[in-house]
Amino acid sequence: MMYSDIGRLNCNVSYTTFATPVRAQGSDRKEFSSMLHKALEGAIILETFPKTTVDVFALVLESGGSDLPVVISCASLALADAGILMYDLVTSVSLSCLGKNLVIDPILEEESYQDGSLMITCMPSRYEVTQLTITGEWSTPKINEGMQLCLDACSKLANIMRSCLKEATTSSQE
Amino acid sequence: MGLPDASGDLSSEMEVDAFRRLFPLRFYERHLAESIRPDGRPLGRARDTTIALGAVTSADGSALAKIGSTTMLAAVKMEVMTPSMESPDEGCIAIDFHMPPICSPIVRPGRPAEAAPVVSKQLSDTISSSGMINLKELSLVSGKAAWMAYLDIYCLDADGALFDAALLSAVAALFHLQIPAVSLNDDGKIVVSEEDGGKLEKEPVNKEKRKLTLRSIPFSLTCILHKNYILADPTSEEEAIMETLVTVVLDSSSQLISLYKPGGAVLAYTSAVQDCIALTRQRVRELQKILDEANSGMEVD
Repeated sequence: MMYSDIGRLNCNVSYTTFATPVRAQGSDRKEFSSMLHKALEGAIILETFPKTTVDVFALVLESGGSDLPVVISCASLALADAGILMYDLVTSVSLSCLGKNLVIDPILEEESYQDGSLMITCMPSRYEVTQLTITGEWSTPKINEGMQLCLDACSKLANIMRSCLKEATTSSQE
Repeated sequence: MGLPDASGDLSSEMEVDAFRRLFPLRFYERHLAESIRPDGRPLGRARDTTIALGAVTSADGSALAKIGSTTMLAAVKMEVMTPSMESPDEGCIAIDFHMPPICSPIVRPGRPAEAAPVVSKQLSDTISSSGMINLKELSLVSGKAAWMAYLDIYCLDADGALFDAALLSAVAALFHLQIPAVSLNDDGKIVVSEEDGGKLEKEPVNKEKRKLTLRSIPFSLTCILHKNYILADPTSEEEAIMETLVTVVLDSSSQLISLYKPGGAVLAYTSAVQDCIALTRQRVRELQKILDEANSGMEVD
């Protein structure tokens, strides 16, 4: 591998064979791996560990919808737990557009009937978005409404994740 | 004082952690001489073990087993298939063991662990030769349809005694398995029948969800042989330092199903093998109790 002044991030997402309703050969999800990489690389302070690679492996045990946002939030929690320097926690929330309704954190069934989806990955305390994907049919006001919903959910999620990390450190100190 | 062997002398002036890393074998032997292991266990004791049944809801049967920090997740998914010509009234069971990169620092994507196919083979040999499952029970319509049970075991954390934990989770998942209710439709195809569905029910083949009858349940214990010592249920650190392993598989009535001793530097004498079997016999009783408790916990819910 080439010498590098900054750290490297390597992500891999895979599914178990029994994660999906129909049994599938447990395989790597290349598209998810690259999405996870792009979602996290902006948040990690790569300059702090030159000549080093951080591997992030995610294994989905059971898929119930909104998989990628969960994988991203979970990975950032794991990075924080490992003591990797980050600008902020990365949280991610998705929502589905079903007719007139916006459904936040959709389950598998809702995702299969959705007209469009929106996923935001952000660093809530910096109010910065690291990743935003919108697919399907959307009107501009709907997008605005959806983004606001997701951003609110992201900051709530960040609070939960933060208290989780605090609990883990206090219990390990005891 | 001449030149005594370096490690012996240094141990008094070195920090424990440094000594452990530099002279792992000496470090262990010091402990073994006092009949204790670095994690505080006596030589013959296995680590704390827990089983949680029904860990994956998308599967027909599943279990999470933990032995110390070694963690295994097993799940069974059932599919309908056409049975083979040779055995028209038997189903089939396919067992696969996976070690994803998450389980250990030595496994990386694209570079699978060597241990995985070995454990996979051992598991299917053990489960088929123990006669635990009557494959005839997996038959639906003789010659036409039978169940194919896919049993997949994932290692989530590899810290030694992989086979023991994998077998335990596999057995627990089969224990938890509920065969779904199916019926035969007009085209002669098998369809999953809705629970308490309409009265138009076609010819039901498997009327209600049912459990498999497990005739005898195999349990195993892996021991390390080192000099005259026998260490039950090794951690991955112990496995890396002392390489001779003996795995004994007994069923619930203490009958020997299989015994593996895949090479290693230490020769297993009859007495050592007998001691391993005696330790396994104790362990089988423990494991049986843990499995029963996990099961009764499920029934209360």
